[in-house]
Parts: sequence; C-alpha cells; structure tokens
Amino acid sequence: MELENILVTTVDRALDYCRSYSLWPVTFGLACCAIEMMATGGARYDISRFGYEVFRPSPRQGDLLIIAGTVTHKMAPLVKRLYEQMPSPKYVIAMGSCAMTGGPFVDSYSVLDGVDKIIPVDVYIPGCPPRPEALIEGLLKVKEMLHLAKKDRSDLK
Amino acid sequence: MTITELFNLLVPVYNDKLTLSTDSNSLIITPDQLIALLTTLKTHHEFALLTLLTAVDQPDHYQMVYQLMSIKSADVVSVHVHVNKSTLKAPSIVSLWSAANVQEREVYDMFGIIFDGHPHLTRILNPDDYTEFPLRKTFILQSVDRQRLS
Repeated sequence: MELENILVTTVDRALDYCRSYSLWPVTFGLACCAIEMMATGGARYDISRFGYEVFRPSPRQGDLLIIAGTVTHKMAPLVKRLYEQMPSPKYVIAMGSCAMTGGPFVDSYSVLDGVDKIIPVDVYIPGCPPRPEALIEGLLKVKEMLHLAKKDRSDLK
Repeated sequence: MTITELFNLLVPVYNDKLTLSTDSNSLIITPDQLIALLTTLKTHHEFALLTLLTAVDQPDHYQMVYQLMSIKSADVVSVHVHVNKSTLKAPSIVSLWSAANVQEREVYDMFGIIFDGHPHLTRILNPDDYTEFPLRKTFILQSVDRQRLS
C-alpha cells in the first residue's frame, strides 16, 4: 500500500466535514430579516447550491438556528427553548443588527439587546437586513468553522 | 356640530362635572360620569364608533383619551378623564364598546391604570411577568434589561 493513499483524521473531524455541507436550518423567522432568509432559500440565490436548503419545521431535526430578526423580551424565552430543543452539535447565526445588538430598537422597553445574551452565537452577520449574499457568506463561515474544527470561534465573529 | 356646541348642549345635564378643555377641542368629564356621558353620546348624538382609546402621562394625573366618531356626520369628539396617579382607577367602557377590551388592556399594560369592570384585565403586549409600566414618564429604560437578564 502506498503511503500517499492513507488519510489520517479523527471521527469528529470527518463528521464535521460532512455536516458542513448539509446544515439543516430551523424554519424560524422573527422580523424582516426572515424575508431575506426566504429570498436566500428561493431560486434566485438558491442556498441548495451549498446544501443548506433543508429548512426543518422542527428544532429536533435542525442543527442550525438562524436568528433572523428582532428578539423581544417576550420572545426571548421561546428562542432559548428552541435552541435547547435542538440536538447537538448545533450552530447559531445572529442575522442582522437586531439579533446582534438590538439594532435600531435597542433603546426600547421590549427588545433584547443581542441574542448572545441568552444563547451562544457562532457567526454574526451585520446588516439591516443583510442581503442574501451576506447570509450565504455567514453560512459559509459556519462551514469554514467546521472545516477548521475551531475551538475558539471568536475570530469568525 | 362643533365641540363647543356639543358642550353647551350637554352642560345643563352634567353641570360642573363636565368642562371644556382650554383649546376647546375636547370634553373633560369626571370619572363617575364617564359611562353616562359616553352612553348619551353613543345613543343620542350618533357617536357610535370608538376610534381611539389611549392615555397620556400628564404631570399631575394620567389623562384617559376616548375619541368617538359619528359615521353619519363624520364629526369627531374626544372625551378626556383625569385619572388620579395614586388610585389609578378608571371606569371600564367594555359594556359600551366591546372593542375597548383590548385597548384598555394595552393602557393597563403601558400605564398601569386599573379599569373597574373590565372582564379580563391582564397584560397584552409585554411579557406576563413584566413588572414595569413602560409608557410612564417615571419609567427607567435600563431597569428592564438589568431585571430580565439577571
């Protein structure tokens, strides 16, 4: 057996590699960012090119939570519960200014100032709302994170 | 019919309990006569449509605002009630307009005004465990995040 034909890896890295090409997002939209998310799933931008088009109606079947929109204090416990219902490994994208920091509504009595106050976030996508290209870039950042098997995710933020 | 004409028509019935606002744009009535006045306006003066129910935080009282409209003449009348800031009591007008139900709940949610006779006075927009009344002038914004994320 020639040495060049042997690939040495770990099970985790191999699985991560496979996962990175078929992230299954949870069907979950909160505000106008969700409209851009829908556009991303449509024919014009077509995230099925990357293998991410399988939006699951149940958090039990998803491994990617895209927080697409404003998280209010009233919605926050439900977002947290959705995250907790997802099976591991799971990834979170904070899409848009609102999910990142509260956005234009940060000085409001009803809006949470960033979804990372309640759940861990892997990738942040700025924009109000971010264009579909930006969301695709964010999804590819998740892929990159899985490929590099990054323990420290901070440099992807 | 102008508000002043309407006021002159109604003032013999309510005497000093009914006053005209300084800008002559609205009627001010005491809380105990509110239901009676609104019933009269609805049944005898064709103001059958409740277009607005809200509140304003004034320096020495909360001001309830009821805006009624006549479908027939397109006239609009607004009726104000001054709510005491310590008792916070106002009469509920759900018996006159069932549409007032959710609007009174919203006013309760934002100002903490208690509506006597309301069938289901609970929070409607804010979370059920919210303790603040955010549209009051005394409301401090930062208190919410501190409290809810602690």
